[in-house]
Amino acid sequence: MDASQLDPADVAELYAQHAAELRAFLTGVLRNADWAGEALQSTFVKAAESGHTAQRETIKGWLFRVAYNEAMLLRRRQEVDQRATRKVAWQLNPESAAVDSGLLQQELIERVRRGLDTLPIDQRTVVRLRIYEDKTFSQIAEELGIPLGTVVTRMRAALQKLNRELGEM
Amino acid sequence: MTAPRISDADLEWLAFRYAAGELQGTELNSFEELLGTDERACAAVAQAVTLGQAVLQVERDVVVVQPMKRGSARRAFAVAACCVASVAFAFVCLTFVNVSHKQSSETAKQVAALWIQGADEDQSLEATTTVNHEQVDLEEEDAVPAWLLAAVTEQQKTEDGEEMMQD
Repeated sequence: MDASQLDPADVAELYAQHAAELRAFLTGVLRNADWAGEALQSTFVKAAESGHTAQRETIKGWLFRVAYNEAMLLRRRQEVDQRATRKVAWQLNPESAAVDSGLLQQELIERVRRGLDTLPIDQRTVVRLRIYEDKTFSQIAEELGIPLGTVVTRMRAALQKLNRELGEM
Repeated sequence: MTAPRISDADLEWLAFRYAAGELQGTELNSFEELLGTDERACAAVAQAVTLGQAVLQVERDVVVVQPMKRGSARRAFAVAACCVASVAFAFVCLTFVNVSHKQSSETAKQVAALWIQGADEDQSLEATTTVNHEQVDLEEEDAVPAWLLAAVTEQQKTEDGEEMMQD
């Protein structure tokens, strides 16, 4: 084996630890599940080739930077401009995120379910309308008959609680 | 001079808006530049996407479960309706059978009573008839009918007249 390359076991370990998060990040940047998968593969090829240059402590940041560069390369290659980012990232292919770790995904969904259940009904309604029904904050404000600022405040409060729930994983 | 560090809450909010496709223009450019250098921003985007997918999944489950609940309720209602209908049908059948049975019993009793009564009447009639017949017979046997007496008397007169003529 080439000594300048990362050990396959180390690459596998990195994949197990970071693939799900990197895929979610790449999905957010590319808004295309297939391209996200492609960029993820390229990222770990780079990790195998030159991951040894990164320090253990900063490997996650290094992987994010590589992934971001791969995503931008892919965007240019596919001739996709920033307008692609107007699509909603989570409505693409939720199943693809489960590929990396099905059990983790189940646990994650359960946590989010519990988090949603603890939200006040007004916050839960805004979350539902924004994410599930894909309505804009203006549409939600109009529908609920409340000021736009109130809708945004409720959404931010809900997100903070849900992110705390996820952060505890 | 370095850019001021964005708070976690603001970064989460920016990442959510980015993943939701709400950032535009310079705000979008600035955030994408930040993604190239800031691990926290990348992690915030990953978390926003993951959270969005999870919420979507949970809400889909809720929507999927609700029709199932409605379906179950409908099924339960249908089963209950069938049970009630079956019970009602059974009740009607039993009632009908009971009434029929009562009616038939009553009818049978009436028929039996009528039969017995009829038999009694028949017997009394028969007896009466027999008695009358017997009485008539007896009377007929005892008393000579008037027409016979008249006929005999007439015949005797005729015979007497013929004998007188011969004499």
